[in-house]
Amino acid sequence: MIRVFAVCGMGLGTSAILKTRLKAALDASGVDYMLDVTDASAARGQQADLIFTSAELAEGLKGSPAKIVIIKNFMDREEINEKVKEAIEELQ
Amino acid sequence: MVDDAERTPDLAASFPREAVRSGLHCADWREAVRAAGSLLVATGAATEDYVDAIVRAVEELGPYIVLAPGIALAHARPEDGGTAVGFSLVKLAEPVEFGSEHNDPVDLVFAFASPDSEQHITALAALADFIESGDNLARIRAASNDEELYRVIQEAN
Repeated sequence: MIRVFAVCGMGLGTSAILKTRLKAALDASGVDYMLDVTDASAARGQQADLIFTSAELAEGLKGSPAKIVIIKNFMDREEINEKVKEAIEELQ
Repeated sequence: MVDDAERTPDLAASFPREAVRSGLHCADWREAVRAAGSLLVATGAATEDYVDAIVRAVEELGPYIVLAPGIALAHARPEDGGTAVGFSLVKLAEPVEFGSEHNDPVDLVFAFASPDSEQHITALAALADFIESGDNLARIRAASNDEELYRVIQEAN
């Protein structure tokens, strides 16, 4: 089971959009996962394997044991699919 | 269990004609964000405090709200003054810089408000899917007045 978080500033907007896209990509990958949305400050205290977030918020997550994946375009399913695939390959 | 789609407002209900403006001139990101936020106030989705909170959020958290090339999604927390689910869009005459590493400059500023952390999700997901599909984004950018822009957005439903 891998624990995945979509992180944005407040856990309400960007991360909600990211969550639906991550879910599709993770389902396609076939891995066993748990996916949740959180804000940047709460994310620091979470036990996670993978955190998907923006370049701006990734700075504040440095030091987290999770692998931080930066998404540039949150609308772009192709970018998200590709980065999910890469991240899962690295974890395994 | 009640289906999400039944209890949460859809995009058509949350994106009124008065919440769409095309060709606004804004000097900087603050003005652009305030313009989009003011439309939420005008349509009864948020209070004036909510607009201030959006600006503060960008100042504190950085320009992460610029979530795709040229597109910002401005919002604050429900407790900052969200009174109903509502969306707005300001299309700028001249793009502005938010300081985003990957996605500046911005010409489309969407804003939303919600009375809680759940009710806006269905409409927000519909909006994101619409923006991403086919030539919808190009059509949003090509719209030359409020009415045209509104008609394009309404097709998202």
